[in-house]
Amino acid sequence: MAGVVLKEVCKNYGTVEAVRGFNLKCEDGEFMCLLGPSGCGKSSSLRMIAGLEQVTSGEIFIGERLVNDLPPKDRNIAMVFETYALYPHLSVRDNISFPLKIRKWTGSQIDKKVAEVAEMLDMNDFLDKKVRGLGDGQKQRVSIARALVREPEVFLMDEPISHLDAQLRARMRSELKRLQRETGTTCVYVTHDQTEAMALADKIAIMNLGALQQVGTPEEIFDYPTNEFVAGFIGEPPMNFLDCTAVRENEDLFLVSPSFRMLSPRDLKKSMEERVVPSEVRVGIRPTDVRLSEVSEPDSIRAEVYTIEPRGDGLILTVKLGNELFRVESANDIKLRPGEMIGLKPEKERIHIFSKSTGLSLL
Amino acid sequence: MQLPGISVRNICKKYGAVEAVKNVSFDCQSGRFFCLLGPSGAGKTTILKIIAGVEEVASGEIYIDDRLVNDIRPQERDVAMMFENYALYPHLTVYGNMASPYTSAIRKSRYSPEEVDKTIKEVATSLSIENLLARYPKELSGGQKQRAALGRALVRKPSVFLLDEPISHLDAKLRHNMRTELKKIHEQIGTSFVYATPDQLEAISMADVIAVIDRGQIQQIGTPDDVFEKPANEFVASFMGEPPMNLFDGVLREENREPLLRIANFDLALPVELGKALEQKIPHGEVRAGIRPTHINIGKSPTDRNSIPAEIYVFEPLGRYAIVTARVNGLLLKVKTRGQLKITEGESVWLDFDLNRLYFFDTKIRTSITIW
Repeated sequence: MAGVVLKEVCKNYGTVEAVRGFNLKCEDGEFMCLLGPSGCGKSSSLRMIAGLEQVTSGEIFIGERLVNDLPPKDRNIAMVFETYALYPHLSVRDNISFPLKIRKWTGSQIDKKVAEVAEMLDMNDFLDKKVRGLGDGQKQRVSIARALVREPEVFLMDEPISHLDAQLRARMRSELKRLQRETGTTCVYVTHDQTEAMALADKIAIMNLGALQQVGTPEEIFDYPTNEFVAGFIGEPPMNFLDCTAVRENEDLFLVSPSFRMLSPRDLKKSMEERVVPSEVRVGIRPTDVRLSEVSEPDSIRAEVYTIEPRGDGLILTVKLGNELFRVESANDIKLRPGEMIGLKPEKERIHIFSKSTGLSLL
Repeated sequence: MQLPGISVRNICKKYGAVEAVKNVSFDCQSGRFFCLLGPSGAGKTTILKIIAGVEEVASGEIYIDDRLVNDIRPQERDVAMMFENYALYPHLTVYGNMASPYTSAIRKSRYSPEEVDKTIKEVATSLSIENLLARYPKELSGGQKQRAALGRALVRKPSVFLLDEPISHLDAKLRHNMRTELKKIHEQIGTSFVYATPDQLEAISMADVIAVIDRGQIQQIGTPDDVFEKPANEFVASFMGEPPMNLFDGVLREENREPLLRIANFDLALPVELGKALEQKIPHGEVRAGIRPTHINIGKSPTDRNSIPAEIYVFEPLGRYAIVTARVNGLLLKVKTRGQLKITEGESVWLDFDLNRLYFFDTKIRTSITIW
């Protein structure tokens, strides 16, 4: 059991700075997700932790050990990647046993371990089948089983379920979470899918363009994003953003745009009293944090219905605010048509405000 | 008499011994947004290629706007195709790309340059790209490229647009925006769309009509509401919805004149009318039952005798809602909860099913026997 620590880790590919000054502390037993769009540096970071890539500079610790100069096999890690790298002509059992045979475990030791892991991953039905005949979900479980038997200090996973079809993916996701809890093994998991990260992680490290943007629990990242990038990346449907000017009028602070004017949330006003705050801001509102009302209702923002997209257990209403499109999540029983006018009432205390120039949160 | 739009009648297609398309029939009325929804390998792309004329059928007929088109070449069929890669000509501007269908000799003789220019500008305006006509593809965003590609296909004024997973390769945010855009475009231009996707959410949010397909066979055709609320069989029931519907075995029996549904060693007392109606359909008592994750409530204490004791297996928080997997005697059920209920793994809870939202399927043939 061990945590993983990255100190000022950098990776350059030629002149491209793929990972810049990455500092991260993953506690022992924690499920840490590295989340971000493609090219953000998450996979490069994982590969450096694994020892598949050399760091350009910086230090990586697994447990108390500085592992920079250790090859992957000496780092006491186990990897699960998108491509399984299984032996198709061998049985599931033989694939799982392989790492243990290399370590010269005895036959009975191996059998016992394989039985334990097969039980954990519900694989008894196909333990003696050849890998090449298996379905995707089964192959992925074999891949995980093979990592499990090695009893590593850390699991490293790179998008292990992103290629599975939607239903299987959702099922495997809960299984992975359950498994990690049961084994208590530290896990560093790379994904571009924010739903996956939110569902699985104890902590999420969200990255963009090689740099760490924010680290926190799913709740922290969701409710208190430190910048516009994080706010827009986490949450489905994504957060809406509107350009506004913060205008002071007597004691009050207003957020003003061509299409509306609203009293700012208390926190922003407090921020503005404590420090100089730019007047050009970006207001962020989640589609779930807006109520619909009649246009005539006071304090509501007037908008035109653009499209209605049913979702099964609700719908997404896209409205036009001036030239900008804005999404609202709503219940099924709303009867509206494109072109109709409605009122929007954002939940004041759930509004996010970012500096237009820096993107940083102003709350 | 065939209606305007597309009609496909009893089409069959084999690749060697594999039956890729088995006796598929459907109508896409003129102007409708019709979705072919199914997992990969279901036959959606094959069906689109058959409509386009790029693949031949072993048997069956294809009608486009009242015309039987089986023996008509793709170029003469009045369809436009849009597949995953836009394939815009990088050396031509948006205008040049949109004019390219008219550069062939045949078309040149049929249409005057003024007509072509007018059409291009009209289509560009309907797609809101009239200011981008002078730009080159590399100067366009993903969404703009999408519109330009659509524009190039639309200038031919096709009767029907065939789209094969056109946005599945885009990142989540762009995909979202493009979904809204495609729906809007369809509303604005009114051309029939036949759209293939494996993504049920995409289908529900965009389509007027959905044909759910599995292994070459149509499972159900209906509005998004139909296929979601009234799935015709277990496949459709479990394919629609995220997370998918919970499905499990049940035994219907009677005790003290009360209808009971036994699931995972727990007896649910059913409303009397429901029990009576089900009894008629399941004389031997065994049934497949289903309930959607949104129709189960989690409570920290039992509400009534139908509250099922369960243990929390996994808790997945997703912002404003959460997916909870609960275990009832070995059966795993997924629950979608709204709000901030604090739930921890291993905790004992009680599950309340909305009994009016239970679905029932025949154990052998898996068709729905739910009473609507």
